[in-house]
Amino acid sequence: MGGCDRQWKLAVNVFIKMVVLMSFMACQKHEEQPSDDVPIPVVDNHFKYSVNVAAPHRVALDEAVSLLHFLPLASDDSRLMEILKVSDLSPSTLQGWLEQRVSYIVDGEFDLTSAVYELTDTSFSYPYMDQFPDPNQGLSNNDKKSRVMSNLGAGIYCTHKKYSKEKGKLSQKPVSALAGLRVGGDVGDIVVRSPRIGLLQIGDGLFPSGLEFGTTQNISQDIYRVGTLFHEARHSDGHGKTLAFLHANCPDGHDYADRAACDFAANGPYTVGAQIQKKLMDKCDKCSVAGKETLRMRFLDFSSRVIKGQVKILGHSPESYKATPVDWDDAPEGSIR
Amino acid sequence: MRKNVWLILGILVTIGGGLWFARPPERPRVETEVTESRIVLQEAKPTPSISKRAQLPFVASSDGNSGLSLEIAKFRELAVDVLRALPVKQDLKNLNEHEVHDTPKILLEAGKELGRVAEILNSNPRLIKEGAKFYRSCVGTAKFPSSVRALCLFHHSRMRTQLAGEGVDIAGLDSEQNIPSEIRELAHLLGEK
Repeated sequence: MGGCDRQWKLAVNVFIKMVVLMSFMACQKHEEQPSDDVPIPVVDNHFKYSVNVAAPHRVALDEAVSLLHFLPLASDDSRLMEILKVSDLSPSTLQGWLEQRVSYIVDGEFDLTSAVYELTDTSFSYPYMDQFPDPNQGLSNNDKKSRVMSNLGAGIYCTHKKYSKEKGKLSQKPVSALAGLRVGGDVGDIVVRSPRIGLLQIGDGLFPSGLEFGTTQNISQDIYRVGTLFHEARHSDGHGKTLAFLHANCPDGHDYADRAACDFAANGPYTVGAQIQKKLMDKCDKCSVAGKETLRMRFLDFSSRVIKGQVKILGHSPESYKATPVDWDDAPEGSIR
Repeated sequence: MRKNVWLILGILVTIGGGLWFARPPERPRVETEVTESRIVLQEAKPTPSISKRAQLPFVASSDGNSGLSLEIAKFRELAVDVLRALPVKQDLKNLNEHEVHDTPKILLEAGKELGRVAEILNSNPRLIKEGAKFYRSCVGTAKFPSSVRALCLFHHSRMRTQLAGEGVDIAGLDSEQNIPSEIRELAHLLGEK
């Protein structure tokens, strides 16, 4: 019986030690999580959300805009000011820049085909009817699962401008077929008379799981979303050939070769997103090391997408040439609200 | 007595089973293989043995300090895991048009993986030389996407400069020669103010 007691005590002892060890391991695992959970005081903005945008997603986007105030930038980057055409980088200036280009946000389930309708406004005519972006350039991000964010308004404007041109050719008179959208909620009905309508659609990619990027009150993810907002905002700019700052096919040898995931413009969406994100990242002393590393990766990924040097691009004429990125004219076309 | 033995066995089996299921998943997608100067990533093969891992170029011999040796050994294990977890260019080619409009999730995850290394190096400056070797292996792997290599180069350059400033012999750490200019230009952007 005494031997049995000893075995029992030994077993209990081993069990307790294993439980303690497992608890210790669990605690260690917990400590590995990024520590950049920081409450960001929310500042008012002018965004209007469709009813189906989930409350946490609204909070996340409002937080992202508010971050511009939480991490105010010094106006010491003349190149960024030149790119954005602003006189300073103060929080109100940057938020104003964003709000000029982003007004409405719809959810990933928003069904464009059932919401869009055609209308005729005789007082409206599309400008630069003889100028369109290169045919191999485009905006492409329609898959809800992989979409981070897309500028729906700019896409609709481009499509209807092109459609009006085709229709005009057939009827041999100028046609300006406008797109109307029934969005509902705070947004109501809108008419797309310019890429500056500022209609964005968010997707699951803006809240990726497993990256500690899916929650609110995380300063690294807020910086990530600011970069996304500024990138998409840039698509609201441009006219004629530069309309919507459409992406171009990446050249041979590029990591994204033959996909419309690059920019010819030196001041295009990838540059805008990368630069604003980097300025905030450099300023962020509350970001975790791991959070910053993820942001650095994205900055490098975006920066690698500006086409330069001797390149060969499928479908581009000429196919092989020396690309030198220059700033595109960002003046928007159409009539702005 | 017999009842107790079965009870003990039951507890041990339960705990053992729990630990087995809780183990981190293996990543058999790519394997690290050693050449004289750098790691080469190859197509999926069976997981390399521990002895093979120990030959990795950034796994230098320890300097006799047992505490440091242990830290180095742990860091090497992590380094091998991270290098295996990083995506290769082919992974990006397999993504659809929509997935490449923004930074693909596999690259964000790569950032997170490299963040694990950066966190350890940040909290333990004694590992900086090991870190520099790790980053050089990463930069030298042509199969990695440009952004991954550029991020590694950014850290490698900083560490190399720091080590040189501290009078540490950096003869074993390759310079930036032979690295494609676009990777160098990209890494340079990260350092710009």
